[in-house]
Amino acid sequence: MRNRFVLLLFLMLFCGRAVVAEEIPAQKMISFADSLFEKGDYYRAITEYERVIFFYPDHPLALTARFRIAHCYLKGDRLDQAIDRFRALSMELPQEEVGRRAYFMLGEAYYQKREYSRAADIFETYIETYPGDERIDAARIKIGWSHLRQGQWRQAAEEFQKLPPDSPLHAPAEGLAEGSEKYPGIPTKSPALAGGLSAVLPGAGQLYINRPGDAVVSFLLNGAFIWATVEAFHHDNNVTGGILLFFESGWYLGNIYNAVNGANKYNRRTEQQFLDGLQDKYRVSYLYDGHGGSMVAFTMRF
Amino acid sequence: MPIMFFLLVFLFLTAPAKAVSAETWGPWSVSDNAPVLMMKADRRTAPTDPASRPVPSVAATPFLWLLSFYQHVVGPVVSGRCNMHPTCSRYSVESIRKHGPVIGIVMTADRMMHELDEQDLAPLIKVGNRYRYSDPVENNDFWWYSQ
Repeated sequence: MRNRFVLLLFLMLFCGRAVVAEEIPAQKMISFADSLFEKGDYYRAITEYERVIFFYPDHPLALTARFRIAHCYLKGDRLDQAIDRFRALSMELPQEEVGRRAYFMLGEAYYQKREYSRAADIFETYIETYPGDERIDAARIKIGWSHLRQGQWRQAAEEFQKLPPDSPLHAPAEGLAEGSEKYPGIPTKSPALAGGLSAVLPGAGQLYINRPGDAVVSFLLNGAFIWATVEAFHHDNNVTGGILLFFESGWYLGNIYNAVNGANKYNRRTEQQFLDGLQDKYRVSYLYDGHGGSMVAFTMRF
Repeated sequence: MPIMFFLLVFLFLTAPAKAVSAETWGPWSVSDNAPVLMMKADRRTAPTDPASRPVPSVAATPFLWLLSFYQHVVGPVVSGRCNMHPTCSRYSVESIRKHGPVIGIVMTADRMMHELDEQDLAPLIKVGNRYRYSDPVENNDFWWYSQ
Protein backbone atom coordinates (compact mmCIF):
# COMPACT_ATOMS: atom_id res chain seq x y z
CA MET A 1 0.00 0.00 0.00
CA ARG A 2 2.79 2.38 0.96
CA ASN A 3 4.71 1.52 -2.20
CA ARG A 4 1.65 2.29 -4.32
CA PHE A 5 1.30 5.69 -2.70
CA VAL A 6 4.96 6.55 -3.38
CA LEU A 7 4.57 5.41 -6.99
CA LEU A 8 1.44 7.56 -7.44
CA LEU A 9 3.18 10.59 -5.94
CA PHE A 10 6.16 10.09 -8.23
CA LEU A 11 3.88 9.83 -11.28
CA MET A 12 2.02 13.01 -10.33
CA LEU A 13 5.23 14.97 -9.89
CA PHE A 14 6.61 13.69 -13.18
CA CYS A 15 3.44 14.60 -15.11
CA GLY A 16 3.39 18.03 -13.49
CA ARG A 17 6.95 18.70 -14.64
CA ALA A 18 6.09 17.59 -18.21
CA VAL A 19 3.24 20.12 -18.39
CA VAL A 20 5.20 23.03 -16.96
CA ALA A 21 8.15 22.42 -19.30
CA GLU A 22 6.15 23.58 -22.36
CA GLU A 23 6.57 27.35 -23.06
CA ILE A 24 4.75 29.24 -25.81
CA PRO A 25 7.08 31.47 -27.86
CA ALA A 26 6.15 35.11 -28.46
CA GLN A 27 5.66 34.52 -32.18
CA LYS A 28 3.03 31.83 -31.51
CA MET A 29 1.28 34.00 -28.96
CA ILE A 30 1.07 36.91 -31.37
CA SER A 31 -0.11 34.63 -34.18
CA PHE A 32 -3.01 33.52 -32.00
CA ALA A 33 -3.78 37.13 -31.13
CA ASP A 34 -3.65 38.03 -34.84
CA SER A 35 -6.11 35.24 -35.65
CA LEU A 36 -8.55 36.73 -33.12
CA PHE A 37 -7.96 40.17 -34.66
CA GLU A 38 -8.71 38.80 -38.14
CA LYS A 39 -11.98 37.32 -36.84
CA GLY A 40 -12.99 40.69 -35.47
CA ASP A 41 -12.78 39.49 -31.87
CA TYR A 42 -10.86 42.56 -30.77
CA TYR A 43 -11.69 42.29 -27.08
CA ARG A 44 -10.08 38.87 -26.75
CA ALA A 45 -7.23 39.82 -29.11
CA ILE A 46 -6.25 42.62 -26.72
CA THR A 47 -5.89 40.09 -23.89
CA GLU A 48 -3.62 37.95 -26.02
CA TYR A 49 -1.48 40.91 -27.09
CA GLU A 50 -1.24 41.91 -23.43
CA ARG A 51 -0.05 38.37 -22.70
CA VAL A 52 2.84 38.87 -25.15
CA ILE A 53 3.79 42.13 -23.42
CA PHE A 54 3.60 40.50 -19.99
CA PHE A 55 5.67 37.41 -20.79
CA TYR A 56 8.10 39.03 -23.26
CA PRO A 57 8.39 42.71 -22.27
CA ASP A 58 11.81 43.10 -23.97
CA HIS A 59 10.99 41.13 -27.11
CA PRO A 60 10.68 43.19 -30.36
CA LEU A 61 7.17 41.76 -30.76
CA ALA A 62 6.09 43.52 -27.56
CA LEU A 63 6.10 46.80 -29.49
CA THR A 64 4.07 45.21 -32.28
CA ALA A 65 1.66 43.97 -29.63
CA ARG A 66 1.30 47.47 -28.19
CA PHE A 67 0.54 48.90 -31.62
CA ARG A 68 -2.01 46.20 -32.32
CA ILE A 69 -3.75 46.73 -28.98
CA ALA A 70 -4.29 50.32 -30.04
CA HIS A 71 -5.46 49.10 -33.45
CA CYS A 72 -7.91 46.71 -31.73
CA TYR A 73 -9.41 49.64 -29.83
CA LEU A 74 -9.69 51.59 -33.09
CA LYS A 75 -11.37 48.72 -34.92
CA GLY A 76 -13.54 48.03 -31.89
CA ASP A 77 -14.85 51.59 -31.94
CA ARG A 78 -13.18 52.44 -28.61
CA LEU A 79 -11.73 55.60 -30.01
CA ASP A 80 -10.66 57.34 -26.80
CA GLN A 81 -8.68 54.30 -25.69
CA ALA A 82 -7.19 53.99 -29.19
CA ILE A 83 -6.13 57.65 -29.12
CA ASP A 84 -4.45 57.22 -25.73
CA ARG A 85 -2.54 54.14 -26.88
CA PHE A 86 -1.46 55.54 -30.25
CA ARG A 87 -0.39 58.81 -28.66
CA ALA A 88 1.67 57.07 -25.97
CA LEU A 89 3.44 54.90 -28.56
CA SER A 90 4.13 57.78 -30.95
CA MET A 91 5.51 60.00 -28.19
CA GLU A 92 7.65 57.25 -26.73
CA LEU A 93 9.22 56.12 -30.02
CA PRO A 94 8.93 59.00 -32.51
CA GLN A 95 11.91 57.88 -34.63
CA GLU A 96 10.96 54.20 -34.82
CA GLU A 97 8.73 52.79 -37.55
CA VAL A 98 6.15 51.70 -34.98
CA GLY A 99 6.06 55.24 -33.54
CA ARG A 100 5.54 56.77 -36.99
CA ARG A 101 2.74 54.33 -37.75
CA ALA A 102 1.19 55.07 -34.37
CA TYR A 103 1.22 58.81 -35.11
CA PHE A 104 -0.46 58.24 -38.47
CA MET A 105 -3.07 56.09 -36.79
CA LEU A 106 -3.59 58.76 -34.12
CA GLY A 107 -4.79 61.01 -36.94
CA GLU A 108 -6.97 58.20 -38.24
CA ALA A 109 -8.51 57.73 -34.78
CA TYR A 110 -9.38 61.43 -34.55
CA TYR A 111 -10.83 61.23 -38.06
CA GLN A 112 -13.04 58.31 -37.07
CA LYS A 113 -14.04 60.23 -33.96
CA ARG A 114 -15.21 62.96 -36.34
CA GLU A 115 -12.78 65.48 -34.89
CA TYR A 116 -11.77 66.44 -38.40
CA SER A 117 -9.93 69.62 -37.59
CA ARG A 118 -7.73 67.83 -35.08
CA ALA A 119 -7.18 64.93 -37.48
CA ALA A 120 -6.05 67.36 -40.22
CA ASP A 121 -3.59 69.01 -37.78
CA ILE A 122 -2.07 65.64 -36.91
CA PHE A 123 -1.68 64.62 -40.55
CA GLU A 124 -0.11 68.04 -41.32
CA THR A 125 2.36 67.52 -38.47
CA TYR A 126 3.02 64.01 -39.77
CA ILE A 127 3.99 65.38 -43.19
CA GLU A 128 6.26 68.01 -41.62
CA THR A 129 7.90 65.57 -39.19
CA TYR A 130 8.44 62.65 -41.56
CA PRO A 131 8.87 64.24 -45.02
CA GLY A 132 10.28 61.12 -46.70
CA ASP A 133 7.81 58.64 -45.26
CA GLU A 134 5.84 56.28 -47.48
CA ARG A 135 2.54 57.33 -45.86
CA ILE A 136 2.86 61.01 -46.83
CA ASP A 137 0.46 60.70 -49.77
CA ALA A 138 -2.09 58.84 -47.66
CA ALA A 139 -1.76 61.59 -45.04
CA ARG A 140 -2.50 64.23 -47.71
CA ILE A 141 -5.59 62.34 -48.79
CA LYS A 142 -6.71 62.18 -45.18
CA ILE A 143 -6.20 65.94 -44.81
CA GLY A 144 -8.33 66.43 -47.93
CA TRP A 145 -11.04 64.21 -46.51
CA SER A 146 -10.93 66.04 -43.18
CA HIS A 147 -11.57 69.32 -45.04
CA LEU A 148 -14.32 67.75 -47.13
CA ARG A 149 -16.09 66.35 -44.08
CA GLN A 150 -16.17 69.90 -42.71
CA GLY A 151 -17.64 71.22 -45.94
CA GLN A 152 -14.37 72.94 -46.95
CA TRP A 153 -14.42 71.54 -50.46
CA ARG A 154 -12.01 74.08 -52.00
CA GLN A 155 -9.28 73.29 -49.45
CA ALA A 156 -10.01 69.59 -49.92
CA ALA A 157 -9.59 69.80 -53.71
CA GLU A 158 -6.32 71.75 -53.27
CA GLU A 159 -5.00 69.12 -50.89
CA PHE A 160 -5.90 66.24 -53.21
CA GLN A 161 -4.17 68.02 -56.08
CA LYS A 162 -0.90 68.23 -54.12
CA LEU A 163 -0.16 64.56 -54.74
CA PRO A 164 2.73 64.15 -57.21
CA PRO A 165 1.99 62.43 -60.56
CA ASP A 166 4.34 59.53 -59.74
CA SER A 167 2.44 58.69 -56.56
CA PRO A 168 0.46 55.41 -56.60
CA LEU A 169 -2.39 57.38 -55.03
CA HIS A 170 -2.34 60.06 -57.75
CA ALA A 171 -5.27 58.57 -59.72
CA PRO A 172 -7.71 58.34 -56.77
CA ALA A 173 -6.56 61.77 -55.59
CA GLU A 174 -7.41 63.24 -58.99
CA GLY A 175 -10.83 61.62 -58.79
CA LEU A 176 -11.34 62.96 -55.28
CA ALA A 177 -10.33 66.47 -56.38
CA GLU A 178 -12.88 66.30 -59.20
CA GLY A 179 -15.49 64.92 -56.82
CA SER A 180 -14.83 67.73 -54.31
CA GLU A 181 -15.67 70.29 -56.99
CA LYS A 182 -19.17 68.80 -57.14
CA TYR A 183 -19.76 69.44 -53.42
CA PRO A 184 -21.66 72.74 -53.96
CA GLY A 185 -24.05 70.85 -56.26
CA ILE A 186 -25.38 68.64 -53.46
CA PRO A 187 -29.18 69.13 -53.35
CA THR A 188 -30.29 71.03 -50.26
CA LYS A 189 -33.52 72.30 -48.73
CA SER A 190 -33.79 75.63 -46.96
CA PRO A 191 -34.68 75.18 -43.26
CA ALA A 192 -35.95 78.78 -43.11
CA LEU A 193 -38.26 78.27 -46.08
CA ALA A 194 -39.51 74.95 -44.67
CA GLY A 195 -40.25 76.58 -41.30
CA GLY A 196 -41.90 79.59 -42.95
CA LEU A 197 -44.15 77.41 -45.08
CA SER A 198 -45.23 75.39 -42.05
CA ALA A 199 -45.91 78.57 -40.10
CA VAL A 200 -48.31 79.71 -42.82
CA LEU A 201 -49.93 76.32 -43.42
CA PRO A 202 -49.10 73.40 -41.11
CA GLY A 203 -47.74 70.54 -43.21
CA ALA A 204 -46.65 72.70 -46.17
CA GLY A 205 -43.00 72.79 -45.06
CA GLN A 206 -43.03 69.02 -44.61
CA LEU A 207 -44.29 68.60 -48.18
CA TYR A 208 -41.44 70.85 -49.38
CA ILE A 209 -38.85 68.57 -47.67
CA ASN A 210 -40.41 65.40 -49.13
CA ARG A 211 -41.98 64.10 -45.93
CA PRO A 212 -45.62 63.56 -46.95
CA GLY A 213 -46.45 61.40 -43.93
CA ASP A 214 -45.32 64.12 -41.53
CA ALA A 215 -47.24 66.68 -43.63
CA VAL A 216 -50.52 64.79 -43.28
CA VAL A 217 -50.09 64.21 -39.52
CA SER A 218 -49.11 67.84 -38.96
CA PHE A 219 -51.99 69.23 -41.03
CA LEU A 220 -54.63 66.99 -39.42
CA LEU A 221 -53.42 67.49 -35.85
CA ASN A 222 -53.18 71.26 -36.15
CA GLY A 223 -56.40 71.48 -38.15
CA ALA A 224 -58.32 69.44 -35.57
CA PHE A 225 -57.00 71.41 -32.59
CA ILE A 226 -57.49 74.81 -34.25
CA TRP A 227 -61.06 73.85 -35.21
CA ALA A 228 -61.82 72.54 -31.70
CA THR A 229 -60.32 75.66 -30.08
CA VAL A 230 -62.36 78.00 -32.28
CA GLU A 231 -65.53 75.99 -31.62
CA ALA A 232 -64.91 76.02 -27.85
CA PHE A 233 -64.49 79.81 -27.74
CA HIS A 234 -67.40 80.22 -30.13
CA HIS A 235 -69.64 78.35 -27.67
CA ASP A 236 -68.29 80.36 -24.71
CA ASN A 237 -66.40 77.37 -23.30
CA ASN A 238 -63.43 79.53 -22.44
CA VAL A 239 -61.73 77.04 -20.09
CA THR A 240 -61.91 74.24 -22.66
CA GLY A 241 -60.77 76.70 -25.32
CA GLY A 242 -57.81 77.74 -23.18
CA ILE A 243 -56.74 74.14 -22.59
CA LEU A 244 -57.09 73.35 -26.29
CA LEU A 245 -55.15 76.51 -27.17
CA PHE A 246 -52.35 75.42 -24.85
CA PHE A 247 -52.13 72.05 -26.59
CA GLU A 248 -52.47 73.59 -30.03
CA SER A 249 -49.61 76.01 -29.39
CA GLY A 250 -47.43 72.95 -28.68
CA TRP A 251 -48.54 71.24 -31.89
CA TYR A 252 -48.12 74.43 -33.92
CA LEU A 253 -44.59 75.14 -32.70
CA GLY A 254 -43.79 71.43 -33.01
CA ASN A 255 -44.95 71.59 -36.62
CA ILE A 256 -42.56 74.45 -37.40
CA TYR A 257 -39.72 72.73 -35.55
CA ASN A 258 -40.54 69.54 -37.44
CA ALA A 259 -40.18 71.30 -40.82
CA VAL A 260 -36.90 73.03 -39.89
CA ASN A 261 -35.53 69.84 -38.34
CA GLY A 262 -36.57 67.80 -41.37
CA ALA A 263 -34.81 70.21 -43.75
CA ASN A 264 -31.61 69.98 -41.71
CA LYS A 265 -31.85 66.18 -41.64
CA TYR A 266 -32.43 66.16 -45.41
CA ASN A 267 -29.30 68.29 -45.95
CA ARG A 268 -27.25 66.09 -43.64
CA ARG A 269 -28.46 62.95 -45.43
CA THR A 270 -27.72 64.19 -48.96
CA GLU A 271 -24.27 65.40 -47.89
CA GLN A 272 -23.58 62.06 -46.20
CA GLN A 273 -24.70 60.14 -49.30
CA PHE A 274 -22.48 62.27 -51.52
CA LEU A 275 -19.42 61.81 -49.29
CA ASP A 276 -20.04 58.09 -48.75
CA GLY A 277 -20.39 57.63 -52.52
CA LEU A 278 -17.10 59.43 -53.09
CA GLN A 279 -15.40 57.42 -50.37
CA ASP A 280 -16.68 54.13 -51.80
CA LYS A 281 -15.49 55.11 -55.26
CA TYR A 282 -11.95 56.07 -54.19
CA ARG A 283 -11.37 54.08 -51.05
CA VAL A 284 -7.99 54.49 -49.34
CA SER A 285 -7.55 52.15 -46.40
CA TYR A 286 -4.94 51.05 -43.95
CA LEU A 287 -4.44 47.27 -43.95
CA TYR A 288 -2.32 44.48 -42.54
CA ASP A 289 -0.17 42.80 -45.17
CA GLY A 290 -0.43 39.39 -43.50
CA HIS A 291 3.27 39.31 -42.50
CA GLY A 292 3.11 41.42 -39.40
CA GLY A 293 3.40 44.77 -41.20
CA SER A 294 0.84 47.23 -42.45
CA MET A 295 0.27 49.06 -45.71
CA VAL A 296 -1.85 51.74 -47.32
CA ALA A 297 -4.14 50.39 -50.03
CA PHE A 298 -6.62 51.99 -52.37
CA THR A 299 -9.46 50.65 -54.46
CA MET A 300 -11.33 52.37 -57.27
CA ARG A 301 -14.86 51.51 -58.32
CA PHE A 302 -15.71 52.16 -61.97
CA MET B 1 -23.94 50.21 14.96
CA PRO B 2 -26.43 48.75 12.47
CA ILE B 3 -26.47 52.14 10.75
CA MET B 4 -22.68 52.08 10.40
CA PHE B 5 -22.87 48.55 9.01
CA PHE B 6 -25.56 49.59 6.54
CA LEU B 7 -23.52 52.61 5.44
CA LEU B 8 -20.43 50.48 4.91
CA VAL B 9 -22.38 47.96 2.82
CA PHE B 10 -23.95 50.81 0.87
CA LEU B 11 -20.57 52.39 0.16
CA PHE B 12 -19.15 49.02 -0.83
CA LEU B 13 -21.99 48.45 -3.28
CA THR B 14 -22.14 51.92 -4.79
CA ALA B 15 -18.45 52.81 -5.12
CA PRO B 16 -17.58 50.30 -7.85
CA ALA B 17 -20.83 51.06 -9.70
CA LYS B 18 -19.86 54.72 -9.98
CA ALA B 19 -16.39 53.96 -11.29
CA VAL B 20 -17.62 51.57 -13.96
CA SER B 21 -19.72 52.70 -16.91
CA ALA B 22 -21.03 50.72 -19.87
CA GLU B 23 -18.98 52.75 -22.36
CA THR B 24 -15.51 52.16 -20.96
CA TRP B 25 -15.67 48.74 -19.36
CA GLY B 26 -15.89 45.47 -21.26
CA PRO B 27 -16.52 42.84 -22.39
CA TRP B 28 -17.49 44.29 -25.76
CA SER B 29 -17.61 43.38 -29.42
CA VAL B 30 -18.40 44.93 -32.78
CA SER B 31 -18.82 41.63 -34.61
CA ASP B 32 -21.65 39.13 -34.54
CA ASN B 33 -19.02 36.43 -35.12
CA ALA B 34 -17.39 37.22 -31.81
CA PRO B 35 -20.28 37.87 -29.47
CA VAL B 36 -19.62 38.88 -25.90
CA LEU B 37 -21.85 40.47 -23.32
CA MET B 38 -21.80 44.03 -24.65
CA MET B 39 -22.36 44.29 -28.42
CA LYS B 40 -22.14 47.60 -30.30
CA ALA B 41 -25.93 47.75 -30.61
CA ASP B 42 -26.29 47.13 -26.87
CA ARG B 43 -23.99 50.04 -26.11
CA ARG B 44 -26.28 52.37 -28.01
CA THR B 45 -29.19 51.30 -25.84
CA ALA B 46 -27.26 50.90 -22.58
CA PRO B 47 -28.38 53.20 -19.77
CA THR B 48 -26.18 56.25 -19.51
CA ASP B 49 -24.21 57.15 -16.45
CA PRO B 50 -26.61 59.11 -14.17
CA ALA B 51 -23.84 61.61 -13.39
CA SER B 52 -23.61 62.62 -17.07
CA ARG B 53 -27.34 63.39 -17.38
CA PRO B 54 -28.34 67.07 -17.43
CA VAL B 55 -29.89 68.29 -14.19
CA PRO B 56 -33.53 69.38 -14.80
CA SER B 57 -34.58 72.91 -13.96
CA VAL B 58 -37.29 73.67 -11.39
CA ALA B 59 -39.70 74.58 -14.21
CA ALA B 60 -39.09 71.19 -15.82
CA THR B 61 -39.87 69.17 -12.70
CA PRO B 62 -43.72 69.12 -12.96
CA PHE B 63 -43.46 67.95 -16.56
CA LEU B 64 -41.03 65.24 -15.59
CA TRP B 65 -43.42 64.13 -12.80
CA LEU B 66 -46.25 63.92 -15.31
CA LEU B 67 -44.10 61.91 -17.69
CA SER B 68 -42.99 59.67 -14.85
CA PHE B 69 -46.66 59.10 -13.95
CA TYR B 70 -47.36 58.21 -17.58
CA GLN B 71 -44.39 55.85 -17.76
CA HIS B 72 -45.22 54.01 -14.53
CA VAL B 73 -49.03 54.02 -14.53
CA VAL B 74 -50.35 54.54 -18.06
CA GLY B 75 -47.36 53.16 -19.99
CA PRO B 76 -47.59 49.54 -18.78
CA VAL B 77 -51.23 49.42 -19.95
CA VAL B 78 -50.61 50.84 -23.43
CA SER B 79 -46.94 49.80 -23.84
CA GLY B 80 -45.56 48.10 -26.93
CA ARG B 81 -47.03 50.54 -29.44
CA CYS B 82 -43.99 52.75 -29.95
CA ASN B 83 -41.65 51.56 -32.69
CA MET B 84 -38.99 54.11 -31.90
CA HIS B 85 -35.98 54.10 -29.60
CA PRO B 86 -36.05 55.84 -27.21
CA THR B 87 -39.81 55.62 -26.78
CA CYS B 88 -41.70 58.93 -27.08
CA SER B 89 -42.07 59.34 -23.31
CA ARG B 90 -38.39 58.59 -22.76
CA TYR B 91 -37.51 60.98 -25.59
CA SER B 92 -39.64 63.64 -23.97
CA VAL B 93 -37.89 63.20 -20.62
CA GLU B 94 -34.48 63.43 -22.30
CA SER B 95 -35.33 66.50 -24.36
CA ILE B 96 -36.88 68.31 -21.36
CA ARG B 97 -33.82 67.47 -19.26
CA LYS B 98 -31.51 68.69 -22.02
CA HIS B 99 -33.30 71.80 -23.30
CA GLY B 100 -35.83 72.75 -20.63
CA PRO B 101 -39.64 72.41 -20.67
CA VAL B 102 -40.51 74.76 -23.58
CA ILE B 103 -38.09 73.41 -26.20
CA GLY B 104 -38.50 69.93 -24.75
CA ILE B 105 -42.27 69.96 -25.32
CA VAL B 106 -41.84 71.40 -28.84
CA MET B 107 -39.33 68.64 -29.61
CA THR B 108 -41.73 66.05 -28.22
CA ALA B 109 -44.49 67.36 -30.52
CA ASP B 110 -42.02 67.17 -33.42
CA ARG B 111 -41.13 63.60 -32.49
CA MET B 112 -44.79 62.53 -32.43
CA MET B 113 -45.31 64.10 -35.85
CA HIS B 114 -42.25 62.68 -37.60
CA GLU B 115 -42.56 59.03 -36.54
CA LEU B 116 -44.18 57.99 -39.81
CA ASP B 117 -41.53 59.19 -42.28
CA GLU B 118 -38.66 58.61 -39.89
CA GLN B 119 -39.29 54.87 -40.03
CA ASP B 120 -38.14 54.89 -43.68
CA LEU B 121 -34.89 56.62 -42.80
CA ALA B 122 -33.82 55.73 -39.25
CA PRO B 123 -31.54 52.74 -38.60
CA LEU B 124 -33.19 49.67 -37.13
CA ILE B 125 -31.61 48.50 -33.88
CA LYS B 126 -32.39 45.65 -31.52
CA VAL B 127 -33.57 46.77 -28.11
CA GLY B 128 -34.23 43.89 -25.75
CA ASN B 129 -36.10 41.31 -27.77
CA ARG B 130 -37.53 43.58 -30.48
CA TYR B 131 -36.32 45.87 -33.24
CA ARG B 132 -36.92 49.60 -33.05
CA TYR B 133 -36.03 52.63 -35.15
CA SER B 134 -33.26 54.64 -33.58
CA ASP B 135 -34.17 58.31 -33.22
CA PRO B 136 -32.40 59.85 -30.22
CA VAL B 137 -32.59 63.50 -29.17
CA GLU B 138 -29.18 64.09 -30.80
CA ASN B 139 -30.72 63.18 -34.16
CA ASN B 140 -33.09 66.13 -33.84
CA ASP B 141 -31.00 68.88 -32.29
CA PHE B 142 -27.64 68.30 -34.03
CA TRP B 143 -28.14 71.38 -36.23
CA TRP B 144 -28.23 73.67 -33.21
CA TYR B 145 -24.56 72.90 -32.62
CA SER B 146 -23.18 72.42 -36.14
CA GLN B 147 -23.98 75.92 -37.40
